[in-house]
Parts: sequence; C-alpha cells; structure tokens
Amino acid sequence: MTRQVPVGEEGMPRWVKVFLVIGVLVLVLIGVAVLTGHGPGRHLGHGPVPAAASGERG
Amino acid sequence: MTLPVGWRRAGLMLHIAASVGWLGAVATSLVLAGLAVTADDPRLVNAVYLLLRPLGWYVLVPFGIASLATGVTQSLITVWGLVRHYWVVVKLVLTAFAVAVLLLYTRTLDALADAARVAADGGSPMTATASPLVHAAGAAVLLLVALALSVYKPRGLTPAGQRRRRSAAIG
Repeated sequence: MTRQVPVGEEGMPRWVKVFLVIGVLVLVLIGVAVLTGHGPGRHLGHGPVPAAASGERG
Repeated sequence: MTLPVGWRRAGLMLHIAASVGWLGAVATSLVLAGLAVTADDPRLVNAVYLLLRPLGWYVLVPFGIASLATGVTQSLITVWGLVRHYWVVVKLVLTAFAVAVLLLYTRTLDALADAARVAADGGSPMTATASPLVHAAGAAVLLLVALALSVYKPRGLTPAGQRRRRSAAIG
C-alpha cells in the first residue's frame, strides 16, 4: 500500500507562518503595553472616582 | 465523529447566528466608543459608558462564548475536526483570545460605568478614553479575519491531520 500525500500538504503553509509572526508581534505589543502601564486594569481606580474619570486620554 | 447533515446544518446555523450577533455587537461598541471619544458633551460620554456595560455583559459576552462553543462543536461534528486543518486551529486560537480579552475587559467596562454613574450624580466630569475604541476596533479586525478564514478555508493540514489522512489512505 503506497502513501499518497498531495504535494504541498507537508509542512506548515506560508499563510500560517505569516499569522504566527503577526501573532507574536501582537503579543509583544501587548506585553510592552502592560509593562508601560497601558495594560488590563488601567482604568480601575482605587478612590471614589475611578481613573477613567480623571481625564486620561488614550 | 461526523453527525448527519441535518444536525450539522443546525449547528452551522447556530454558529453563524452567534458569530453574526457578536460581530454586530462589536460594531455597535465601535460606534458608541467612537461617539464618546469625539463627543464634546460630557453627558454623552457618560451615556455611552453607562451603555457599554450592559452591552458587554448581556450581548458581547453571551454571543462571544456562544460563538466559541458552537464553533468548537461544529468542528467536532464535521469532517473538519478541531486540529486537522490549520485554518480551524488559527480560527480557534483567534476566537479564544478574543473571548479571553473580552472577559478581562468587562472589568474595565464596569469601572467606566461606575465612573460615569459617579459623574452623572454630580461627581467629577467624565473624560472619554480611547481604550474602548481601541479594543472594539481590535475585536472587529480579529472577527473579520476569523470570518475570512471560515469563508476561504486556506489549505494546509496540521501534523495531526496529515497522520489521519495517511492512516485513512492505508485503510
């Protein structure tokens, strides 16, 4: 019994590699944003008026 | 496990309904967040942030989770499988990432709504933040990419898919 693997099915396609590169870049950007204080929880204030009300923009 | 065509069509219908609902809610969030950022009237900013909380909890979160759950189910009951084709895997990762960020972001939506409530009750006036706009825009791009993957289904078998194909060919 011979194996019949279509040409091009072996290995990771180029479009997946492109997605991987973009995904890694996005994760790096998110990491930088978190480290520089722009990450999750940034709008959660501890006083009576949360930080979002204090006039920040972007 | 491939189910009969009737079940698969019902599953596909549910998946499309959930995903379309999610994309529509994201588009609504995008418009509202843009409205807040460009508004001159602080009352309008308050109104937007008060609206974003129920939109998040009662529309975005349910539709997002439903889209993820029906997508996983759909892959398991059809010939596509969950890890056989790269487009399914990539779409699963994108959707799971979007749902995770959405669930985390509900905390921010809660905080914004609380701040808007305080401002509406006579507290410090609310100033718009670009954060909801950025998140909604990112979600829109991500969901459109997932939609494109579903429609075009780019070629490519994962190692698991290749093993399955070889074993099927051997019989």
